Amino acid sequence: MSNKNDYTIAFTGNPNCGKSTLFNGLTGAKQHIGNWPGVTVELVEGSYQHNNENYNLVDLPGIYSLSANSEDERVTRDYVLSKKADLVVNIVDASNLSRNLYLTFQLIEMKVPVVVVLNMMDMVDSSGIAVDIEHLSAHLKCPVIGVSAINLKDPLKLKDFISKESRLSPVSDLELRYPNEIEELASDWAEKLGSKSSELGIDAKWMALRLIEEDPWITENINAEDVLSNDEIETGIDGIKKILTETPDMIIADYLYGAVNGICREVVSRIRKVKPVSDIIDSVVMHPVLGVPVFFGVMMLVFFVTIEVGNIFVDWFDTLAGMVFVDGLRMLLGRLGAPEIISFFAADGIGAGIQMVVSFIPFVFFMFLMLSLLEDSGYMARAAFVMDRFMSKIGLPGKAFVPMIVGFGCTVPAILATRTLDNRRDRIITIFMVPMMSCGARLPVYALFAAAFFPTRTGLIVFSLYMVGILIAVLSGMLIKVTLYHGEPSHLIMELPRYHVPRAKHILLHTWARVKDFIQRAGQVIIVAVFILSIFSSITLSGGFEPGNVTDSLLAFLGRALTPVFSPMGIEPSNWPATVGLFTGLFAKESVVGTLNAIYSQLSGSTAESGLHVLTSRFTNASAYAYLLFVLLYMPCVAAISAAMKEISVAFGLAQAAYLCIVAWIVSTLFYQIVEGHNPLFIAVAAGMIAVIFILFKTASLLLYKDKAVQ
Amino acid sequence: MDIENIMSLSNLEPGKKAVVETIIGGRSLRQRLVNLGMLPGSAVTVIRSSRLGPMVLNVQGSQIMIGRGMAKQIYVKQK
Repeated sequence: MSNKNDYTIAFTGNPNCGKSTLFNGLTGAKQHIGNWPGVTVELVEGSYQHNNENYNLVDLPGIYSLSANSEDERVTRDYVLSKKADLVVNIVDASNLSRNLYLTFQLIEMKVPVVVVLNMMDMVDSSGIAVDIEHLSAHLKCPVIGVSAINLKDPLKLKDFISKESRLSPVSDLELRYPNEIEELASDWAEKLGSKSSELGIDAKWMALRLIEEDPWITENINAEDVLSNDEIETGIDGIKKILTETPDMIIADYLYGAVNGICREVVSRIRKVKPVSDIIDSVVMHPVLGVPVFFGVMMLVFFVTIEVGNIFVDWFDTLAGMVFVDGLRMLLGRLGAPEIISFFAADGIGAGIQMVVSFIPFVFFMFLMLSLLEDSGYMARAAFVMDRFMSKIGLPGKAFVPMIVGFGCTVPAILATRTLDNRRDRIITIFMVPMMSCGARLPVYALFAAAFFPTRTGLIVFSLYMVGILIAVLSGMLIKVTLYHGEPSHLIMELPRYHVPRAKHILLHTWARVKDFIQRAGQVIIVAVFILSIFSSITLSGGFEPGNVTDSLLAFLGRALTPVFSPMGIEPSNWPATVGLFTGLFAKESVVGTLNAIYSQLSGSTAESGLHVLTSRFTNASAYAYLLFVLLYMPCVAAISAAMKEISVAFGLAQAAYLCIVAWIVSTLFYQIVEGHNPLFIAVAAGMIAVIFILFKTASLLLYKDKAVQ
Repeated sequence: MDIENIMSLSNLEPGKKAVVETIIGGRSLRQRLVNLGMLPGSAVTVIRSSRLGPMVLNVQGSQIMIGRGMAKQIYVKQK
């Protein structure tokens, strides 16, 4: 149990009930974002002080019930059952009482200290209904308070309420009545589960009811203990099914809703009828035809602000961070008399890594800002509706379109944007596809090559590359869908929230917390990766330390050694700088241009401008286009891989990088060999590799399903 | 029971009201619908429906969206 002056409070409630706004109102900027162990669900914690007492708040994910079918529901249920919280605060949307109270009843049934906060009392007025708070409290046998997120006095009122109730820790003794058959079985089983339930600290009747509902988690735990035999459980449940001609989970849900609706009839009174404004707006934005251009308009705005406005700040952030962490650090260390090698690795290794992280901050900030605007205003749900019929073809929800659009600007914020998706499967497929959306950093490479090789058709060439990226992304998405996630359709079921004016404070806090999280988590990996690459580019083969001499560096050595791998796509062994460019492209794709420029001019011993003229002598038209295809598709920059690793797992990040490199090789090789090389061996190898990829995915899916079958 | 009026929810036209009869499909699908207030016996009104995309319904006083494939698995009795 926690210290006397230190309370842990858990916030629960339906999505869109205003939970996060109240949370922000209490904690302000004192919050921290993490992940629940083992799942991709966001964990938001915060704290505040009130009357010399410390309150730690945990914002549990928004859920509709504790049926534990989704990661969000499981996380919430486990947390509430763990009794880590001194008080569970259930936020209830007053204007939609019946659906919200369904969760309240489930919480009360767990016999943990629960209080109800009726939110949006202002909405109740505007929708023409009134709620009798005292009456509701009497029915639920638990404390209830009414607040409005826009009333400035309410956070204080809420703090007083929470501090009083955390001391009292009230457990409602409300008992729900189910049909006799269920009640009898539940009390019989509850008795048998007695010792097990007190050992786990979980209410016995609650456990028995979940067992009757055939809840997988509880069932597994009981079987392991042999308190109740499998046969006994099966016979009991079959008995209920026969008598009541319905599955127990539906009967229990039906009775819960019956009780909820009974209370609602008594405490809610309709004062007047109001036609919501939402309906009028929805008839346009959700229109089967008009909705599509509206959606693309909104997406263009998101893209423009994230990338174009972000870009203005990227230069400032980049320059400033470069001045401080790279040049400043180098100068400082030089003044202090540090050896050149130390100051190089500190400044051009770690310092440059920090600079890279800092330069991504504007993109990440504006992307989260735009996303939370979309979510908070209520438009995101409409976007999901409009895009559902297109995205469902590759087995993704309509919302998955948003990260893809952001991906055309920058892959890193796009990967982070997948957090708006509801389940892990959708996030994995989307993150897998996002790097194939050609990001802004690849454009300078295309522009340079297109201008040198196809001066009359520059636009067409660049456009074709974007299209190839989309095509390969769609094919890859379908490949995952039919192999790894075969037979697991992603059904769209979601609430359509009402529109409301976005709340500036809420959005800024939300955005800032996520930017901070990006800096802390992805930042570490990026810095390490940049540091390692800086070693390779500054150490020569003989072990000497010669920064600036890329031509003799380990990187160049590796480039030369690896160039034969790229010969099927038209890169001659003498054109090894092209391979080195691919390595430095891992820092950031636009570095390809700088590297080619530097090495070519170093080799020809002439000025930088002529370095690029060398380009036309090193590539043919076909091999130039094949090289661009490779730049488009091969593994994304270290920042993007770091983001994918942090969002899903290290193994996923590595697998994705490997997949992209192989696909890039196949596509470039096929293109070059069909157009110019005409070597049947290479075409056969590329085709064979496509088959191998397919077999690998199929095998992985078989292994995955075998595991699932065992479970 | 009046079999005549039982139809798939996906065929219900905008503006029409119905009562849910049965939900075909696995436990997780059923429970996700129940969470949003949609279970046998509850009243639904179709707000929006186009031939290809998802549907918008009014259930228990709030609007919910469900995919067309899912709507096909819900049988309702038109009022």
